[in-house]
Amino acid sequence: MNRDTIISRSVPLILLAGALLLLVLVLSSLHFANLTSRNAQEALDAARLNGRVMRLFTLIQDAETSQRGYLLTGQEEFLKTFRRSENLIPLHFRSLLPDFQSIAVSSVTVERLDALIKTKLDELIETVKLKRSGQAEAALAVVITERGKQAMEEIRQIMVRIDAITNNVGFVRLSALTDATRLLLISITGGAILLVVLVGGAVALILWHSRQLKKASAALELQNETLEQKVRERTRYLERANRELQSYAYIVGHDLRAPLVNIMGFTAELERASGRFASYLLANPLPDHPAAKAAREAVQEDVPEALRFIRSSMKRMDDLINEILKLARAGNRTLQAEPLNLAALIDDVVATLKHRLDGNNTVVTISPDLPGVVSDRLALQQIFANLLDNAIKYADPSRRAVIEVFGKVVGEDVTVTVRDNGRGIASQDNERIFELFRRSGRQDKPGEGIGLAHVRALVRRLGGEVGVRSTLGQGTSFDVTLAADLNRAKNWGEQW
Amino acid sequence: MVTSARAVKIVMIEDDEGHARLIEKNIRRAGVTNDIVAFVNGTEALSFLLGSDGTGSEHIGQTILVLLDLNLPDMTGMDILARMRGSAHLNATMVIILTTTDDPREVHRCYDLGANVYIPKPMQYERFVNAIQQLGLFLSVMAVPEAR
Repeated sequence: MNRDTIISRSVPLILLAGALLLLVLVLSSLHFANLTSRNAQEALDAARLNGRVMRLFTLIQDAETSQRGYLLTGQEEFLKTFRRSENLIPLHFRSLLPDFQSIAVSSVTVERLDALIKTKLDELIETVKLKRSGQAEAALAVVITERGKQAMEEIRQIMVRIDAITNNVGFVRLSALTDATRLLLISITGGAILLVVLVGGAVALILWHSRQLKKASAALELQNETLEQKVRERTRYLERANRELQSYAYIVGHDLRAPLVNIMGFTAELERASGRFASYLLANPLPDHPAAKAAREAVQEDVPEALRFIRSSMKRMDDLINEILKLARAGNRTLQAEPLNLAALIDDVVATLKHRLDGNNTVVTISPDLPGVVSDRLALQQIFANLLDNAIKYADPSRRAVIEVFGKVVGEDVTVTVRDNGRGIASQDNERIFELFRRSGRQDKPGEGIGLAHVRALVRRLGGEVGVRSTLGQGTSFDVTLAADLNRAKNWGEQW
Repeated sequence: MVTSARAVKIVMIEDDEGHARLIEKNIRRAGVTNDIVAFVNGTEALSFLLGSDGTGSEHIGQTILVLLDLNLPDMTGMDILARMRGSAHLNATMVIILTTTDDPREVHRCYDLGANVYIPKPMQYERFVNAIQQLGLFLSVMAVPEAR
C-alpha cells in the first residue's frame, strides 16, 4: 500500500472521529451550560429566600416593637405598623413554604416555626386587646410571663438556622456554578480547537484530493491520447494490410493466369497431336496384335479422357482465378455515395433475376417502407443480387418459395433483411458460409463459394456487417447492416 | 528501303518459354514463315540487337521486327525500347509490344517511347490464341523498314 492510499483511507476516518468528538464536546457544553444556569438559578433562589426570611423576621420584630409602643403610650398611632404586620406575617409565611421545602429545611422546623409565629402573634394580639379594654396591668402581666419573649427567642434561633442553611445552599450552588462554568469553558475551548483542527484537516484533504484528481485526469488524458494514437496507427496498419492483401490477390490471380495459359495451350497442342495420331491410326489399321490394340486404346480412349479431366480442372481453376480477380477489383473500386431508394434498387435487382423467379414459381415481396440510404449503388446491387440469387438457388422444392425483403433504421445504420423459406443452413456453418470458397449443405447446385464472401467484403466496405439467422429445413434470414450515410461513416473512419 | 514481309526476321523477347512457343506456333499457323529468334531475357536480347559495338550497326540492311514483352526478369521491355530508339540504326525498327499489362498509363508510355503497336496479351487461352493468330495475319501483310 503506497502513501497515497494510506492517506486517502485514513484521513477520512480521522476526520470522522474528530467530528464525533466535536459532537460530544458540543453536547457536553450544552450540558454544562444547562448545569451552570440551574446552579446560578438555585444560588439566586437561596439568596432571595434568605432575604425573604429576614423580611419575615423583620415583620415580626416590627409587630413586637409596635405592640410595645402601644402598651407604653396607649396611643393608637403605634398600632398602625402592628396591624399591617399582623396581616402580612401569615401571608408571607405561607409564601415561603414551597421554598423551605426546596432548600431542605425540615418540615419539623417549619411546623415549629409556624407554631411559634402563631404563639407570638397570639401573645401580641392578646396584650393589645387587654390594653385597649383598659386592662393595662393584665397586658403587662402577659408580657411578664415571657411567653412572647421565649417564642421570639426561638424564632430568632430558627431564623439563624435557616439563614445558615440558605447561605450554605447558596455557597454550594455557587461553587457548583464555578465548576460548571470552568468545565463549560474547557469544553468550549476544546471544541474550538478541535473545530480549527477539523476544518484545517478537511481543507488539507480537499486540497490533496483535488491535486490527486488533477493528476489522475492528466494521466487519463494522456492515456486517451495514447489510445487514440494507437487506434489510428492500428487502423492505418489494417488499411494498409487490406490494400496489400487486395493487390496481392490481384497479382496472384494475374500471375497464375500466365502458367494456366501455357497449360491450356499445350493441352490444346497435345489434343491436336493425339488427334492427328488417332486419324492416322484410323486410316492405317494396325495388325491385330496386343501391343497395337493397347496403342489404339491409348490414343482413342486414355489420352482423350486424360485431356478431358485436364480441361475441366483448368476450367475450374480459371473460374476461381476469375472470381479472385473480381473480388480484388471490387475491393479496389472507389465507392460513389449517392442518395438511393433501397426499395427501387432491390426491385431492379429482382427484375434482372426474373427468368429464374418464373422458372421456380418464386414470390418476392419488397417492403415499400425500406429506408433510403446514401451509399454506393453498384455495391448494393451486387450485395442484394447475391443474396436473392442464393435465396432462389437454395429454395426448398417441396414448397412454394417466398422471399421477403424488409428493413428498418437503427441509429445511424440501416438494417435490411432478406428472408426466405428455403432449405436453411446448419448452425455450425453460419460463419463458414461467409468464407471464400466455402459452401454449406448438399453440394447439388453450381457455385464457387464466392458470393457470400463477396457480400461480406462489400457490406464491410459500406461501413456495415452482414449476419445470418437460419433454421435448417425452414428458412434463412440475412441481415445486412449498412451505414445510412456512407460519407459520414467514411469521415468517421478518417478521424481515427 | 522497304522489304517485303517474307525477308523479315522476327525477334521475340519473351521470358515465359511456354508463351514464346505458343506464340510461335500460332503465328506459324496464320501463315507466317519468317525466321523467329527468341530471347528469354533483356540482356541477351539487347546484346543481339545492339551488337558488339552497342549501336545496332550490325543489322544495317536487315529488316527486323521485335515482339517485346514488358515484364522481363532483368529489365523492363521499355528499357529495351528506349535503347533501340536511342540507336541511330534501330530507331525506325518495328516494335510490337505484346504483354499482359493493360494499364492505360503503360500503354501511353510505350507509344511515347516509340512503340509501333501495343497488344495486350489476353489471359484467357481462347482469346490469347485468337489474338496471336490475328497478329500473325497482320504480320503477313504489313511492310517493315530496314535498319539503316
